[in-house]
Amino acid sequence: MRSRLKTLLWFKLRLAAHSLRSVAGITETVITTLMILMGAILAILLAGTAVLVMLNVLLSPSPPDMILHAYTLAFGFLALFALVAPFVFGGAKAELDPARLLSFPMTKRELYGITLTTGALSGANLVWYPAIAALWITGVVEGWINPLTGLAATLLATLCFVGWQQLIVGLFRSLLRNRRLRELLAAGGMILLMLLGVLPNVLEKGKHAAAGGGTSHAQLHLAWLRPVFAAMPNRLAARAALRFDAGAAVALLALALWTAFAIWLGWRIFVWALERPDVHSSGRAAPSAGRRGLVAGPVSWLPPDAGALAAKQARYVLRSTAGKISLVTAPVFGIFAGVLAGKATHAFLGIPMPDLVFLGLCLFAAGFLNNMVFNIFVWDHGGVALYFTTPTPPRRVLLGLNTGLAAIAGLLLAETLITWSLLRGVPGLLVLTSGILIFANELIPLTIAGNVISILSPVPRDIGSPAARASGASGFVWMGVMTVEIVISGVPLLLWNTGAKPLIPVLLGVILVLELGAYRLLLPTLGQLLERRKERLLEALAGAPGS
Amino acid sequence: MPAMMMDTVDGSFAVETSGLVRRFGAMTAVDGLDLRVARGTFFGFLGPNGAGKSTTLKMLTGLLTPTAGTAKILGHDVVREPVEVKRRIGVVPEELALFDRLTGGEYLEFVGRMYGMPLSTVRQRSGELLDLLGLGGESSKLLVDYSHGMQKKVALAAALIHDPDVLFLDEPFEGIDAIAARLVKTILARLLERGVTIFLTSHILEIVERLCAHVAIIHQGKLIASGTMDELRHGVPSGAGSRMTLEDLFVSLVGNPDESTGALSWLE
Ligand SMILES: Nc1ncnc2c1ncn2[C@@H]1O[C@H](COP(=O)(O)OP(=O)(O)OP(=O)(O)O)[C@@H](O)[C@H]1O
Ligand SMILES: [Mg+2]
Repeated sequence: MRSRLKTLLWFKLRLAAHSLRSVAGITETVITTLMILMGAILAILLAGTAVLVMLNVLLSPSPPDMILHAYTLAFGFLALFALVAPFVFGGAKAELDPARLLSFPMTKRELYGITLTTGALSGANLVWYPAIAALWITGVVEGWINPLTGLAATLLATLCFVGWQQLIVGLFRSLLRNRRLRELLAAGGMILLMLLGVLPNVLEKGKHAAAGGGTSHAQLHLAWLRPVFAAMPNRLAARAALRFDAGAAVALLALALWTAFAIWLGWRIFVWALERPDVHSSGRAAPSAGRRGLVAGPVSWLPPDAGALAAKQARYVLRSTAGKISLVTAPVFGIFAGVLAGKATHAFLGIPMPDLVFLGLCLFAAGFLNNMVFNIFVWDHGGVALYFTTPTPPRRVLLGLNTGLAAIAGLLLAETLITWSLLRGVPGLLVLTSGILIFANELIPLTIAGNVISILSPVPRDIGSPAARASGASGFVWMGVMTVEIVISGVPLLLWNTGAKPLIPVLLGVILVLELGAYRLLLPTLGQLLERRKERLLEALAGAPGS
Repeated sequence: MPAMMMDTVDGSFAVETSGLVRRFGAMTAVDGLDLRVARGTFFGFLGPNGAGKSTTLKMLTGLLTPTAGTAKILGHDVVREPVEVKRRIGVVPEELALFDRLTGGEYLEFVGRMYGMPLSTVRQRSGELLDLLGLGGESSKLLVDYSHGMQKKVALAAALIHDPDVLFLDEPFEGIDAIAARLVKTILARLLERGVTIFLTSHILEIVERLCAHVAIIHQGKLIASGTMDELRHGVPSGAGSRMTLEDLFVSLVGNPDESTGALSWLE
């Protein structure tokens, strides 16, 4: 077992070293290292803050209670950090799938032990171990905690956090093997995250509402949570570390139970995952995806090959997690902008605020699909070979893919416009036309810039992953294009308060025609670029996992 | 002089390369290859792993640019007239390169439209192809949910949908079952009757021996033998040449005599 463990650790090191052999690998590693460094700084900062809080509360009337509070918080933070670290730092995906080791002569139990150990020693964890150690050392130095129970509590807490972390990683990894489930989870997770982002606001509002009366309803309803919080591992660890009494022993025992439960449950999941048939190759029919007319119909005016490319691209966006998420977020932006506009009363440059917000919303909507516009080959993987083995000229490949994305962008704009109209009524014809024109005026330069970046630095992604993001440059380019577009489209808007107001959409239309002309002129050059970068593109995309 | 004439007549050969070279950095994968494949022949392109077969095929099908030399398909230069070439060829690449989030039907439709075919023809042909390959019932399933062999069949269907004159197949028999293999062989035979040129690489020498009238063997990027089976047998110095199978020939031409009797110390 020991020698195998060594082999595996060596193997993981080799995997990491090999990933350094390509430019993309190096970029990825540099980014990961930076993120780990940031995480480490964050951990140290938070541990430092915890210490400062503790120092501060020493001066307050009942310090022991406050220290307990601070330690509970610190342990809680570290537990949370441990749970998310493998996902934030990508370890959960990059790690070796234990199922692949089954072909070696090892029992499942050994395999589980090895998985746990290598997991505990992964880079993501090395970030917070020093922080939890610092917590103990500070406590001992300051004389707040008993060195012995403190050490036991810290060690047990570490083990407990790692145990739960590995359980979640294991669960995630086994779910990862089921494509549909994984895609659902990714979409669901993103929506949940978005909801979580809104939650503090809602709670704040609730608080304000309840501020009038004495005990709020919320407090009454949440009273049962107190014992639950008291039984959480972080609280138990803090309790055991800080007071040397019978209660500490009980807390330690409870902590040990938490840990044992995590390891046992992790084991059950591990076994379940290993024994599950590979979902991927089971021949069950997938739900039909064959709604031909929906996507193929509207693009029939294009040359057949470009139309086929556009339909393919549109289908891919609609079948991707990132695309589905944007279908959900687009109306959210419409609501957001509608509410925002309702609050504003003043005018800017003579344009009433609601109209200005509407125009801004249209401008912004052009960027909903940014990640895909700047990474048009994102899910094509080996399929890109077809672009080069068929007689379709490269410029038409780009035209087709761009048109597909533009169609979905239009769909998203329609979604936002509908939600806006439901909230605030349909905008006037002039404002509506101007908005749609501004949207189109923004989309075209984005598309051109996006093609260049897509060709020069394509980033293959799993279609089930919520991210479709291209290289880091794309964010800056978007900002740049948007700034330029605000200036260009802003000029006609200066006519708002003059008699020439009806000229605004006309001028915006002239800009659109000019941009379309530029796009047409540039497409062959973009196509040449695509042809020139063919081999690099194939290399970057073809080897990548298909799903 | 007649040989020169042959060279310059447009489209005399389905595939013709001269001095074809492809380097990857310092490594030369294909090293001055001169190939001629007559129209309407079933051509087997053989070589050990890493010999440069796939690299050659990728240069012929427009996926890799040659470092030096020329290659013509039906008289059209692959570098200077890529569109003319691509219109006439069908490709089953080595690594399956499908758009796996389309259904089988959508994918074939997509490929057909990429060749500029009218939608009605594409739909009719894709239906027929899927039925023929036993995938008719699966046409609404995403390709990602197909088995490996099923994906291979779809790749073949995609290479056939526009009725190409030259078909490039990189290891089409890898990973498909015996029934599918026989089906593929039947389809290929029918294509051959229609005058299609088939350029095939495969490691299954029995199939190559049975199907291919002409065979070429490359090793370390260089052509080391080419001709009909009989011509190859004549090229072998040993007297037993006349009764050799393709496998014997291949091993005797490519195999290193020192390594051919490989020994493992713990099996002694
Ligand atoms: N993109 C590439 N970059 C670097 N080297 C490459 C690349 N593609 C192929 N090679 C090298 O070129 C040589 C020939 O490869 P190729 O794929 O043509 O072999 P093959 O004859 O098809 O082999 P197999 O029978 O295993 O498929 C190999 O040594 C390979 O490592
Ligand atoms: Mg090969």
